[in-house]
Amino acid sequence: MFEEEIRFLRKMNKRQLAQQILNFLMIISSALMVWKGLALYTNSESPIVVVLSGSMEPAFYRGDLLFLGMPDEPVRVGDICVFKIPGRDVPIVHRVIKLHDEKETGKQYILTKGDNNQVDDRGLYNPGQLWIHREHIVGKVRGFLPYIGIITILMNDYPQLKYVLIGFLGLYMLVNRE
Amino acid sequence: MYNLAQRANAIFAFAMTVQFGLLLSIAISSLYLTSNPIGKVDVRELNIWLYNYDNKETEFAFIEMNLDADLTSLFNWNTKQLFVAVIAEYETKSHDLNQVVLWDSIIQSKEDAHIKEVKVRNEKYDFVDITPKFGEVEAKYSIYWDLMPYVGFLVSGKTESNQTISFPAPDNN
Repeated sequence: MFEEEIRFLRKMNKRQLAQQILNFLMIISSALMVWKGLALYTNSESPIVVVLSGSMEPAFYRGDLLFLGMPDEPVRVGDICVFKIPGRDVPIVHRVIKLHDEKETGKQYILTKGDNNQVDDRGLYNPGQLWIHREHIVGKVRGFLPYIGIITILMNDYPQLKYVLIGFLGLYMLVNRE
Repeated sequence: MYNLAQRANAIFAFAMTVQFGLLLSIAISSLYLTSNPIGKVDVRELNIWLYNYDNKETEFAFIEMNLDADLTSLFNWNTKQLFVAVIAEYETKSHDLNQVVLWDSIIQSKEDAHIKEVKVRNEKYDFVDITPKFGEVEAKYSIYWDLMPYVGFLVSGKTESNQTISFPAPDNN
């Protein structure tokens, strides 16, 4: 199956090889540009997230894709927010169930809960932390696309798969004739 | 020139393009469907009890209400489920806006979208202010809905209510 490709690689001169590598880099950089452009447009550091837990079932299942936005207007009760607890890497997607806007400072005191959880998130926050604030919020869920993110979850669960996939894609780009 | 892998690749790419085009048109077109959700919260009883919470004597409000809402018009071919909640909103001396969820429900079919509940209490959610005492407040109650689609945009809204009820003095227990 690969004999033809290998012969093709041998036959290529330096110029063609350079061209293929440039093509490959071009694809990577345009993907990066789209991602960063989206982040700028939505004003959210990660405009697309994959659902990693079942705490928002039956609305969001593991592997569903969420599109985020960061609106100028303040957070309101009922909004589904993605937030990061200081000192932890994995963001959480939960609904705001309680909110207090302080008059003097304008600071928002926010409490969240997963629709599928029986209790609020105070057990998930850092010890002694009762509220989260605006600065913890990465974005507000605006759009929904089911199933697509399952690839990310598989790659997280089986890290080898990631290298196999990247290696295969890279090879394919190199030997692709167009 | 055209081997099996190339043909399979072309078919797969075309199928993906068509599918994403279809999903996008579903997502955008369902934004233009009109709906007319109505709902009413009727508060029947409001009591305040003092409990020790976080080493402070704290006012807990207990509410009993009747709910009547017709959200059937929110169900279209792209509606996966509705998240419905009763929200209390009030203003205190130190805080501009306070919003607390008192009750919630997830509705997954049009048949269940006509809500008629009597004597609902805030059993699942504590109705407590951020300060230990509510003080002299008047709260407004409304029904909030959040439409979650099969694919596309989340839409939410709430039915406004005019009923405001002053908080009574706490009962001593």
